[in-house]
Amino acid sequence: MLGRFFAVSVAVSAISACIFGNTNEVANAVFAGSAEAVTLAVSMTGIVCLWSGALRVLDKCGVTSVIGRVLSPVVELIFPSARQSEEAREAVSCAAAVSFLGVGNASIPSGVRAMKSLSSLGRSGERDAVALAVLSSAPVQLFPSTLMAIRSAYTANAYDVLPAIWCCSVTTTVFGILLCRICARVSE
Amino acid sequence: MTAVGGYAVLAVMAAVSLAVLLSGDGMFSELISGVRSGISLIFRLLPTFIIVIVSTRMLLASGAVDVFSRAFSALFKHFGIPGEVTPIIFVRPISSSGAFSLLSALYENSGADGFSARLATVIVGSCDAMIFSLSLYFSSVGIKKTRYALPCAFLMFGFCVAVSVIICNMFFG
Repeated sequence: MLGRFFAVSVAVSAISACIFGNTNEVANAVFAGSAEAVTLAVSMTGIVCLWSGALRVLDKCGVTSVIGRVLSPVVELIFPSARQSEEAREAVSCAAAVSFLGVGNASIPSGVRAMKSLSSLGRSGERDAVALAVLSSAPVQLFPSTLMAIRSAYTANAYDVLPAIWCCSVTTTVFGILLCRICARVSE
Repeated sequence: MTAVGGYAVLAVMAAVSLAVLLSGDGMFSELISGVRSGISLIFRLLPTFIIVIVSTRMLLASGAVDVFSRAFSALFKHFGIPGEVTPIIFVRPISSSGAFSLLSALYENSGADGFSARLATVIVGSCDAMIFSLSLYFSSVGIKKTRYALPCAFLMFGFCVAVSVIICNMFFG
């Protein structure tokens, strides 16, 4: 997927750069983009490492299994293969809980762990891993922190959009779940 | 990171410190080795970051995105999407930082409490930079056959935009 996206977007940018005379800007974007990727990785290293550590400690002392038990009805409904393994159920529940809180890059370690444990469960697990990745492209967040920070700089009632965002993202997630089910059914 | 997010972060830190305090050195070395595993995770993700960010920055700089948004803005107006929101719709799936800077510009130019500012906020807030998050999750576990993931994510995004328009008209119209 990424390979094809990379090839198509580079080809499209090269052609349109020539048409619109933006060749210099695009060439600069190559250098600036690769530097930006490293800056991004470095800047998120701290929180990703810390959260990986916290996750492991919470695992060892049983907090994640409690979260897993509480969220299991929802998780098993959306990802049926999580019924097969307790580990997968806990990992996916944790990922869902963390992503729901809207803590940005801190959600990467738990998300990656959920992907790993789902994709190790054979065919049905892989299908659920694809669904998890798709759903993560439009996450339901209680409090989208970066967005609210930007909005607070411009208006006093920054939070008035939150109910609309919740309605919209919940509806989108339900649509996404159904869509993934249908695609899985058709592709098999 | 205010309100609930802040409390959640504090609760996690408190739980971790309590666990280390109660069970001693064993738990602390678990914490350290967990933190260390984060470094290898970042190393594994870095190549994906470079590829995704370079290709999306090239797309943005080439003017291709502007052409698409100009071509579609007349069509989108029929569905009640103001012209100044259209560029944000096209940038959102490929770049979070790009969408955020367009959003700040929109707040700056037409105020943060207008209909188009609110619509843009709802669109940006209810989906993520899909190319980035899909690549991140798939490359982290080495899945190469992503099957229907990208088309599904695109359809979901289109659905999200449509629902945002409906909901914003109901809430703020």
